[in-house]
This record gives sequence, structure tokens and C-alpha cells, in this order.
Amino acid sequence: MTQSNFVPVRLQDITKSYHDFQALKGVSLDIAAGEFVSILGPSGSGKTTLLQIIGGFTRPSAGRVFFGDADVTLLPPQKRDIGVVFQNYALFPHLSVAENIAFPLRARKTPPERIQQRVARALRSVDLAGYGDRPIANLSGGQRQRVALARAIVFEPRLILMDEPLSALDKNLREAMQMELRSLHAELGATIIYVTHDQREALTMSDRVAVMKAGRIVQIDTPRGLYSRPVNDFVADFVGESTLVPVERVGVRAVRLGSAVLGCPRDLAPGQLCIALQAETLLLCGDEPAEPGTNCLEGTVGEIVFQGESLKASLALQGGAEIAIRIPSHHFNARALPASGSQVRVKLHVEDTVVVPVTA
Amino acid sequence: MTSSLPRLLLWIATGAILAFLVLPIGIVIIMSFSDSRFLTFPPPGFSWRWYAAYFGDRDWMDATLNSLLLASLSTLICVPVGTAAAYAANVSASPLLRRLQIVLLTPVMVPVIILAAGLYMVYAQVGLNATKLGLVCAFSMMNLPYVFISVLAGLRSFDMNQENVARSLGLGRFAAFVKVTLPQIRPSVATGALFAFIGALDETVVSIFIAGGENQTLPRRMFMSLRNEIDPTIAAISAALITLSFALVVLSSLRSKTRQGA
Amino acid sequence: MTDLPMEDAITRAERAEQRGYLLLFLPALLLVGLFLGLPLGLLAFQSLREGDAFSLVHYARIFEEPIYWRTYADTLRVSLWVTLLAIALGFPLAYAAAIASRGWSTLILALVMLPFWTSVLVRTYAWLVVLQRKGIVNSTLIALGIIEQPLSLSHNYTAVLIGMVHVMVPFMVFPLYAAISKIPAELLQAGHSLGGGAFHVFRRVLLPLALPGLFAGSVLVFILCLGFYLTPELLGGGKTIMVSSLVQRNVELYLQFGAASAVAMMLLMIVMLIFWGVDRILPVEKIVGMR
Ligand SMILES: Nc1ncnc2c1ncn2[C@@H]1O[C@H](COP(=O)(O)OP(=O)(O)OP(=O)(O)O)[C@@H](O)[C@H]1O
Ligand SMILES: [Mg+2]
Repeated sequence: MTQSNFVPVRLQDITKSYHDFQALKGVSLDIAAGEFVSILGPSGSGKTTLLQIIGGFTRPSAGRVFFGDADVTLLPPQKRDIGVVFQNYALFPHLSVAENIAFPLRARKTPPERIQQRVARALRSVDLAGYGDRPIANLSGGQRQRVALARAIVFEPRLILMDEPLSALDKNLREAMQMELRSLHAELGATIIYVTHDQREALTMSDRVAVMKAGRIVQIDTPRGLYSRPVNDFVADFVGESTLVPVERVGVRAVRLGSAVLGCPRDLAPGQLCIALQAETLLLCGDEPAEPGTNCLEGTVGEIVFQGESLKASLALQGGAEIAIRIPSHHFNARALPASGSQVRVKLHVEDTVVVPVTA
Repeated sequence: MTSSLPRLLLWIATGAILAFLVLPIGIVIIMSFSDSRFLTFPPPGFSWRWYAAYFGDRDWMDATLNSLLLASLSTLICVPVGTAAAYAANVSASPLLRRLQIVLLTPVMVPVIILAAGLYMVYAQVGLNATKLGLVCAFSMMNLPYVFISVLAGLRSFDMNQENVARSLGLGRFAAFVKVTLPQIRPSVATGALFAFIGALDETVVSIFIAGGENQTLPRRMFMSLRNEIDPTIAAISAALITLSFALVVLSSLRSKTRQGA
Repeated sequence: MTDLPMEDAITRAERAEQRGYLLLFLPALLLVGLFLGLPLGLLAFQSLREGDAFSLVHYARIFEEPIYWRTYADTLRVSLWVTLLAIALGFPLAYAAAIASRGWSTLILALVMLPFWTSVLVRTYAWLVVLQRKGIVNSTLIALGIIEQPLSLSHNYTAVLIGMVHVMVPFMVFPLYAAISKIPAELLQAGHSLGGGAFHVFRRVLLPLALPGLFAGSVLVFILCLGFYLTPELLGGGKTIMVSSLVQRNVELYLQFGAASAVAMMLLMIVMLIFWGVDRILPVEKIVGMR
């Protein structure tokens, strides 16, 4: 691969209406060349619609799409030079593996001997060397996924779009493919826009994640940024697997939860607030006085469930909110294990204390 | 145990009804090999004379070739026209198009006798009666719904994303349709074409009205001949027609089977 | 931020695409418009003309002259009978095909397909052969000593019924089979195991669930019968039994285009009325799709 073709992508105030329903309500997004950006959101939030617009399969109702400096809003897909991978792979079942991969090269009238070389190289790059003559029907789900990937990269596109490409695979395969995609991305230096509704997948793979809700991008940030600085309760809930508990603002950087006053890392705006409590950030502690930079909570232990590498205990806080804490299940911990029904204290680092505004 | 008697009755009835459906056709085939002028059953002896009478008769041959030609031409017209319409109906979101779809179904909703009478009167005004052009157009129109329905069903179960992918990989719309969509909906197109071809070959009522003279069709000639006498030549023709329809149907179903197996 | 030129361009592109689809649709529309729309238009026009003026005489005639309205009544009667007989013969076939093992079921359906793919003309000829004076039915009956003189079986009302039923049974079997084969076998067995007799299961379980197929098949058969021409013409022995023959005779024999048009329009109105009436329960696409 000589000079990379990959371009930055800019979306400018994209809207899309179907009759009186607005699927996208003004989406703007800037993606750098070579960046891996995930679009994350619940079902129906408009992820696929956005991707289809970037791909040129659907026209926006208003707004513009730029590849680099070129306005491609009205450019048909065949002129966009993009590789796409869909959830159901959309491989051509009447063609063999090699013919599928050669498809974009044939469409570009590449000379036959070049086609062979490049197909062979693409097959090797997705670990399918020797599979060229297989019919698509004989491939496993993971293999199909790789063929789709090879087909999307073989013609050195300007951009790669993926719509939930791994969601049809089982968990192990999915995790392996995530790693492969990641390294392929690094190797190609590709601009990749990746749609998923799996938050873990988005956080694992992306340089940045755009969280969508009801046709809008709610937040776009690095995975760490999303995790530690969600803009509101929706993002905190969707990204963090946390329990949201309402709190009361008692200072610029302090909130009250039941009788406990908790310090926060950033200034809080007035208004309805809640705290996002994640099982992993809470640590059991004794009765010793709190160190500086630490918040403490008290609660009653409820059910304790063994989950393999860890135990998960539910904790009823004063005021009735029910949260979860996680305790590693090795034997050093065995004697520290609280009994069900006992009163315990947990600590939480101030930097991990995520307080977000509540949206309607 | 309680259901064994009704069961038995059901199987007997099934056998009898199937016999009612199939036997007359079998008898025609047997009669076609009779050596007698009369349609006595069972035939007194075996001969090929009625086939010889059919294949040796210029008028019958002309009518047959004409029918085959008309059926082929009208299929060649209504397959692409119907496929294009089905494609448009499938991808377009336009409410106008949706409402117009029903128009393409009207040829099978209107009783053929009405079609035939109307066509006859219109053709009489413009001099299209007993012309190839008039017949081909009429047959194309009549069989269009079969192609339209069959191809539309094929497209509905086809994943249009494939065409999108083909376009993103560099093909124009038409090329994407030809290279990706068409090969996969081929069975539906073939079924539509088969219906169209056999439909045109069999079309009698419209032929009775608007064919004739130079442009005699096989069914029309058979009809005319049947009105006068029960000529055993018709048995030979019938047997030939049955064989042809079946060859086509079996061939197309075998093709679609091997396709599925691949 | 509004950039109107862009939105205009998008709208234009969208319109162009929709125009493209319409263009693809147009040849089909033209074909039907020219070769069906025009003929129907002419029929409608002529049915309202007497000499050089508009008049309703042709329609009035249908109600006044017995030969006309009786033909309509006969057509409805024959169609009804054929539909009932097609149900009587089609139901056992469809049911047997639905409960039989795969092999038998395929065989039954194949034997139903056989007449379906055979030309109506050929099948009518077959019945002429079977029912004629020296045909297989008569010779069998004579050989068995049941009768001495051959019966005249063809060229009458009964022959028409037999021939039409033969054509229509497949149209009844396919939708019925589709409906019955969707009924889970356990449901029918449950009916039996709850102590229901065969008749009880039929009435309480099978019939209600098969009803959509039965309805679809009946509507289809009835409509097809209304306009049926070949079989009644050939097996009816020259008698005018059905409306279709009335149309044909007025056109070809008497050159009465006005009368023929009115008779045809009347028939068309009856058919369309039925389509319109059942449309809510059974969409037109479904009915014609089965044909
Ligand atoms: N062609 C269409 N016509 C009408 N509404 C549509 C169309 N396509 C999408 N929508 C609507 O737009 C909204 C967004 O759909 P979209 O497919 O983009 O969601 P998504 O975020 O990809 O969801 P999922 O995770 O389920 O794939 C949905 O409410 C959907 O019903
Ligand atoms: Mg989606």
C-alpha cells in the first residue's frame, strides 16, 4: 500500500425525515483521516440512517457530507470509493469468495493479473488464503465476516463504513474479530466509521465514540472521556453499566446522597442531578476515618451472587436506592466477606465520582 | 381407532377425485395413438397416424409455428417490461407508484371474454385485427401481471442492501442490478417468463376474436375444428401440447432445484 | 444555519430519482393502458350509444329481454354450482395433501398441477372424448349392462358443469392447501384426544382455520367462472348458457357492438363489485396472485 487514500469526513448539520418522522435532527461530526469513530446508540436512534447517508445510499433531507474538502452530498455511492460491511455481510451468494473480493476491482477495470495478486493479498490479510474458490454458502459466519472485510478494503477505499458487523457472531469470535479489526485499522491507517449498539465494543475499539439518541449526537468523546465525563444521565447509563441515584447539590463540587456528602472532581451546574455508581469503582472499607480524596457510603448488604472471577453483592443505601458492588472472589478476600444483612461501608475515589445532570 | 374409518373414506375420495382430474388427460394421450377414425375407447389398435396428420398438415404447422413465434415475442416483451415495473415498484417510496401498481394487475382481473371483445373492436378501428403486432401486444399485456407479481415477490425477498454494496464497490445502478440482483432473482424471472410463454401459447379466447387469416394461432384452429367435429388429430396435438408444457415446467423446476442445491 | 441552494439540490436529486422509477414503470403502464384501458373505454362508450346518440337502451334490454337476464341468472347459478362442487372436490384433496407424508403429499399436488398446466382447450376436448356417445363412460355403462342405449352426456348443462369443475378444482386446492398445511398437526390431534369425533374436529378445528383459504379459493373460482367462455361454448352444444357466449355472439354473429358492449360492461361491473366487496378481507393482489 503506497500512499493512503483515506480521507477526513465532515458531516454538517445532517437531517433526515421520513414523512413527518425525523430520523436525524441535525447531526454534525468531524472525523480525522485515519480515525476510528464508533457511533453508539440504542435501537432506532438513527445510526444506520446516518451511515447510509455517509455511504450515499440515502439522501439527507438537508445538510452536507464532505470527504476531505469535496462536497459529496449528492455523489452516488459508486463514485465515493467507500468500503462497506453490513451486519448480514451482504456477500454475493452467486459468486465465489475470490469473485466477491475481485468485484470492486473488476468494476474498476483493473487488469486481470493485478486482480489476482490483490485478491490473494487481501485473502492473506484476513487469514483466508486458499479459500478463494469456495462458494459463500460453505463459509462459517466468521469467515463470511472476513470475506466481507477483504472485499471492503481490497480496492483501497477512501473510507470504511461498518454497520454492526460483528453482532451476528458469538461472543468469543466477536472479541477475536474486534482485536483483528483494531490491528487492521492500525495497519491500514483507515478512516473507519463503525456503528454498534454494544457499548463495550465501542469503547474497546474506537479512537472516539459518538453517542446517539433519537436522531441526535448527545456526546462525542474518547472512550475514557465518555466513561469519566458523561454529559448527562443518558450517556452515563448507556455507557457505564452503572446505577443512577438521584443526589442533591450542596456545593459547587459537593452533593448529598442520603446522609453522606460526596465530593466531585468538577464544578456542578445547578439543577436536577444524579450520581452514576459503578460496581467496579466501589471498594469495601472498614470503619477507619475517610482519607482525603475519598467519598464514603453506607449500606446494608443484600444478596451475594458468585460470578466466576468475582462476587457481586447488592447494597441497599440509606434512602432506599439499591446499588451493586463487586468483590474479587479470591481467598484473600474470603475473611473480609460481609454477611448478607450486615451493615458495611464502601469508599469511592473523588475522581470516580460521576455526577451528571438529569435530562427529561 | 375412531378415526380409521373416516381416514379410509378420505383416501378413497382422494383417489377418486385425482382420477377425475387426471384420467381424461390420460385418455386423450392414449387416443392420440389410436388407429381408428372414431374415438372408441379403448382404441382398436396402435398407430402414429394422427401425429403424422398433425405434423404433415401445412395449416396445422403454420398455426403451431405462428403460436410459438407469438408466444416467444410476447414473452420477450413482457419479461423486461414487467421486471422494470416490479423493480420500480419495489424500490420507489412514491405513493403514486404504489397506487398505480393495481393497474398492472387489471389484465387478470378482467374476464378474458371482455378483453377479447374490447380488443377486437379497438383493433377493427386501427386495422390491427389478424396481425402479428396486434396479437403480440395483446398477449404481452395479458401476461404482464404474471411477470410483475412473480418478479416483485422475488425482489421483496431479496436483500436490497446487496445492490447498495455493489454500488459502493463501484458499479452503476443498472450494472449493479444486472450483476448482483438479476442473477439472484433469476428463478422468479424465469417463473414469470414461463407463465407468460405458456399463457400466450394457450391463449384461446382472445385469439378467437383477433387472430385469423394469415395469423391463425394453434388454439384458435383447434377451437374451430372442435366446434365442427371431434377430430382425433386434436388428440395428437393435445398430447404434443401437454408434453411441451410439462417439459417446460419440469425443466424450470429442476433448474431451480439444482440452483438451490449449489 | 440554512443553506437553501443545497436543500434545493437535494430536492431536485430526489425528484429526478423518483422520475426515473416512474420511467421504469411507464412501459408496463402504457402496455396496459393502450391494450386494456382503451378497449374497456371503447366498450363503455359503445354500451351507451345507440345510433349517433347516447342512450341506455342496451342496458335496458338486459333487464327487459328474458334471453339476456336469464343468461345472467344462469351464469350466476352455474358459477355458484361450480364453486360448490370445486369445494366438495378440492377440500378432501387439500386436506389429504396436508396430512399425508411428504412423498404422498408431493404426489397429490403434482397430480393436481398436471391439469393446471394443461391447456383449458385440451381439457375440454378430453371431456368431449370421454362424454361423447361412444365415449368411455357410455361404453363402460353399456358393458356393465346398466344401460342399453348410450346416454347423451355431452352438449348439455351437466357436461358444462363437469368440464368447468375439472378446470376449477386446482384453483381451489392451492389456497386451501396453503391454509390447511399451516394448521399444526397437534391441534387436530388435540381435537381428537379431547374426545371429539371426526366430524366434531372438522367443524370446530379444521373448518375455522381453513376458512381463509376456502374463502380465497371460492372467490377466485367464482370470479373465473363468471367470465368463462371455452368450456361452456364447447360442451354446451351451441346453447347460450353463459354471459360470455352472449358477448361473443353479439360481436361475431350479429355484429351488435352496442349490445355486446353493454353485456360485457355489466359482467365487468359484477366482477369488479365482487373484487371491491372482498377487498377488505382479501386484497386483490392476493386473489390474482394465486391465479
Ligand atoms: N425507510 C424508512 N422509512 C421510514 N422510517 C425509517 C426508514 N428507515 C429508518 N426509519 C426510521 O428511522 C429511525 C432510525 O432508524 P435506524 O435504522 O437508523 O436506527 P438504528 O439506530 O440503526 O437502529 P438499530 O440499532 O435497530 O439498527 C427508526 O425509527 C426507523 O423506524
Ligand atoms: Mg441499524
